[in-house]
Amino acid sequence: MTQYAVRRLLELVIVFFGVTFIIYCAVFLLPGDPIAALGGDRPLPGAVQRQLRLQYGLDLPIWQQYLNYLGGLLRGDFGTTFTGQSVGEQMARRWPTTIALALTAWTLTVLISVGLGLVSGLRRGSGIDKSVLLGTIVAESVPIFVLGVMAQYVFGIRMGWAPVAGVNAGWPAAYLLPALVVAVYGLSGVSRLMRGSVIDTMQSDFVRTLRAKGMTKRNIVGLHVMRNAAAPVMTVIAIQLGSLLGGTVVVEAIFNINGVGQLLYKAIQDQEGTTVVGVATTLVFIFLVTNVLVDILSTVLDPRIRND
Amino acid sequence: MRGLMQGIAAVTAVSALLLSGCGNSGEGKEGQPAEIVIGSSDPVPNLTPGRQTNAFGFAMSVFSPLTFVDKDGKLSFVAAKSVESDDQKNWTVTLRDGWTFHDGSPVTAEDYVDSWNTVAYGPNAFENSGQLSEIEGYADLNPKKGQPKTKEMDGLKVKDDQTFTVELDRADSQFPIQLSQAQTAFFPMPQSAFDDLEAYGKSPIGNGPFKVTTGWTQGEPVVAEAYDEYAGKRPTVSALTWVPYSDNLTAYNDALAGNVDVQRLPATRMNQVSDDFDKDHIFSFGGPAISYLSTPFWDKRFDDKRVRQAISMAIDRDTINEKVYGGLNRSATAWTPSIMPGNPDGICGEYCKYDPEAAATLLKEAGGFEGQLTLNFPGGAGHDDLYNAVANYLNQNLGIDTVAKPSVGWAEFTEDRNNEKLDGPFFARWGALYPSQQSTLRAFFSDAPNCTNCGGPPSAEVEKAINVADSSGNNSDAAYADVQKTIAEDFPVIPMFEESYNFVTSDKITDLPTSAVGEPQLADIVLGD
Amino acid sequence: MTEPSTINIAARPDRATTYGLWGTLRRRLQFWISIALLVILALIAAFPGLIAGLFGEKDPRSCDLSASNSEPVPGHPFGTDVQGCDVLANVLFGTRTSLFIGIAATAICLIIAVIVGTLAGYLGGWVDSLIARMADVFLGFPFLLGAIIVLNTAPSRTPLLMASVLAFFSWPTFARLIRGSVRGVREREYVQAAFAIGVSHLRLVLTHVLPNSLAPTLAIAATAVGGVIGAEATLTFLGVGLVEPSISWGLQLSTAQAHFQAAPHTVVFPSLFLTITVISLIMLGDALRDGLDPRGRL
Repeated sequence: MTQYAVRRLLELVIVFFGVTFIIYCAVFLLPGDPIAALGGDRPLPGAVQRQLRLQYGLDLPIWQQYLNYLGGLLRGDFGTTFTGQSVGEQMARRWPTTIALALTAWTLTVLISVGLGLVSGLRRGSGIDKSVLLGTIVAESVPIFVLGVMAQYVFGIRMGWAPVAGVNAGWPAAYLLPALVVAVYGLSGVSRLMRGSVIDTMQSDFVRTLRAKGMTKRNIVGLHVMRNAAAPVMTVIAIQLGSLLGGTVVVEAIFNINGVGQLLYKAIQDQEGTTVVGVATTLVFIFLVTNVLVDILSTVLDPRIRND
Repeated sequence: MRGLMQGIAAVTAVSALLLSGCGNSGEGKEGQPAEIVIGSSDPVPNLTPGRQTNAFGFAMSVFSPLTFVDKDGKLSFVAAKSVESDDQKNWTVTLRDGWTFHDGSPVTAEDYVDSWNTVAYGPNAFENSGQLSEIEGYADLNPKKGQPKTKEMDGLKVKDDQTFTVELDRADSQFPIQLSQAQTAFFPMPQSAFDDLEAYGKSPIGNGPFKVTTGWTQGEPVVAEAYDEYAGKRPTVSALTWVPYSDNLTAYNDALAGNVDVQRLPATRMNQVSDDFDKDHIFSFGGPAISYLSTPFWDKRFDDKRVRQAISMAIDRDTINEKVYGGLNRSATAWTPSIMPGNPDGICGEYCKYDPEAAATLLKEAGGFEGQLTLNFPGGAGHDDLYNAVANYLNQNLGIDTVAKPSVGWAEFTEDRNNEKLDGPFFARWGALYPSQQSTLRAFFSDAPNCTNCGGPPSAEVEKAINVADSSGNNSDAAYADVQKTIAEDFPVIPMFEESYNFVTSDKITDLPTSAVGEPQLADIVLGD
Repeated sequence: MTEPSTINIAARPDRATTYGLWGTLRRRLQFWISIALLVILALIAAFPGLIAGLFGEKDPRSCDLSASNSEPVPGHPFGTDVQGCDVLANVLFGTRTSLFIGIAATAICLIIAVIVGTLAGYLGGWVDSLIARMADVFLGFPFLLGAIIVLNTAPSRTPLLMASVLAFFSWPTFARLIRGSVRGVREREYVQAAFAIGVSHLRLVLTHVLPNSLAPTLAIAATAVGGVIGAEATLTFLGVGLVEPSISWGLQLSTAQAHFQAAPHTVVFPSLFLTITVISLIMLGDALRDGLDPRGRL
């Protein structure tokens, strides 16, 4: 067990460096000249551009730039943008927002889909079961930006139930609507898994025995069905958290949430190399760590899973 | 901790205002100080006036210019008492008495000279340094190679506390206009700024009607409050807050929800703004900006000017303006916008009028067009509808297989344009910072080396005509109009639209005054009661 | 079919599964509805101009800017978009591109996933580990960044390129699935037995391991086609998807969402087609999955 964990962690380090290097190269492969574009449609004087290039070491070969970057990273310095802002500071300000959004979305996914899965599993084949299935599929099949723009218009602008943009209203008011939009895309998968689990458990011998012994349906569901269903559902849900983080880019753009998704998207457009690498690296890191944790946890929780 | 400090500051400010009495015009009907929230969606990396490239509303509120041009094109003096010259080459600037910076120090001639030298000094890499390039000695601070040997421009001399002289590298009658409200590189900075330019850029100390109370932090609002010791006209509101948004569409939506008082109208909402806002709260200012369809002079297929003229005639500008811009812009009829004094409106003639038959005939005479035509424009900036419409017109009226292709962002577009890699007509625009035909003509048609924004191949003839106009004194407007005659002859770029700068406001605001640069005058906002 | 004896023994379970699947499927209404919808969509994709002509404007490129964003009227049953182009004609022509991207991306993805997943699952050991970590890299690599880089360095954004990019970043999920089921099948007695009597690795994989692990994957693939179509739309919304003159639902939607309030019909109709397509694919995948795994049946 310990050996497995150590091995996974070692691999993690290797994957991490591989990914950062690929990202670093990729950013510098992007077509475009970030310095020349700093002035928008008012061109910067040539002397100014030369000075900036010198200042940011853009005249060095790419491997040297990468080594410089890594050196800074080891000292905890994520570098600065072409406009002189600290990337580390920007991320420190934005990560909490994105994590809050992702966690809210994740909690909503879990609550709603476990509820839906439970209901449709217990009322298998009923009208409710079928409409839950259809409803989650329909919602999921609309592209996220269409759903986001519609939700913003209807609930934000027309009804005034939620802030239209920004997170100034704080948690939870400002986060609920965007989180709900993100959450919709995880509903059908998790609720179906839950439904399957409920059906399996309800059909199992021990539940039949319990029912025969006169235990009420409510108690069976509360005590046994939920517990049995929890393990497989937990695994899927944990994996989802990682992908949620990356998937908030669109929603952040629509609802003007200053998270890392926005930061990454803007940085890509403006070719702010250091910012892109910084954000992407932390994203990858979180994803990898979650993955390893889930793998290790699932081995601990369920000895039947062999990770060899 | 910071939040607490802010809270204390706000409380102090409010009580100070309450103590100062309620007769102040800057207060709303309930005795509350009138605070105006402005949506700001452009990245604002640095607020130093010599560096900001898109925080005009901020710079123009926290700083006061030497001269001011009103919306009718009339020049007046603000921080300067006079700007005079006998030969249009050597200028004397005299400052008004009694002006102070927000830190209390008096504004002196030396401050101006030091500020301008700082902005122009190459290694500082100030984005707006180009505005000072006509001053004698600018080239010494920006050598082609290596580090400059001096930190000061020869052309600037302090005479006394209130007077300094400026020597230009050529006669230029437009200099007083160049010192006006949007040319922020000419704004003064106090001596304290030079010690730590980085810190100054986050919370600049100016000489204008508003004093920064909460400086810039990423993702947080910037606040400026009315400066009590301001020597100029008192502002009508007590505080301005710039709230950052990821993009102007989001900011617009928040304005729709009533959370923003002054918001720039996004291009993609021009069509529907009249459904969203009451017409009293939509302000459309004729701007000093013009957009062109530039043609790649490195591509032989566009060598014949009849090809360029045919493309121009095949585009129905009026319908595009009505359908894409909600009728808020104007079809261009010259190479500079009509807000410029003495603008030769209509000089483009029949070639800027929609005539599909004539366009097709002209193209045929020129020998037609080979292959696919790609329209290039920077993506993510709301130009898609325009270029798709143009592509449709060229497809339908000229039978050219046309594709509109956005780039990822500015970085890619700029590089491809500068390296002459664009394979078809492309986006070009110039938003002048001072209301003179000179600004647009110099930016676009000068034969200066490395003029990456320039339209068409460098033309010595046009350059000569511009130089003549620069030194024509009172006749300069007519002389600049003559320059456009030369341009019309050659037709290097296709004039498209005179841009309007559009804003929407909350119900709080009954009038949003503007000036010759198309920006709102935030200090003069008229509030309802 | 050259060695009938071995195949007969081993193929029996396979055929049984297939027969059972068909038997289940043909009695499912859900299956037939999704098939009917997909046939209609396929017809539209094959003859968009012909079908559009029945309702009015047959040319998606014939646009009249002065009639921009007009509501549905006879001749333009779905109205016109901001450029004054017929929305119906564009939706119908877009069907071809969107379906193509969906199917091509999933197909490319499956090919990569089958090869990689089978190798990992069948060989196990360090190969398995290496592939698993590679999959981690791809899953962890921010999709948006990857897509932007590939799509921008390419000379032109064609539907095939879009499909390849989408496939390139989504194969790991499938590879994991295939790896899992390959491992499952590999452990089964009949496979072990076949190996014991001297059937080669390649033959074993092709005749037994793959057919058995492919069926569940195909069920999920049908669902994935829908997801890919939506992803194309989202990439276009973010400014890195298809560009004119391509016609796709994603392109239509991302243009139309800016005019959502003024001309909701330009958003509604493409969304409707997109939703119907995605639903019919998900329903098909669902039916297949239920057929394969009767326990979860409705």
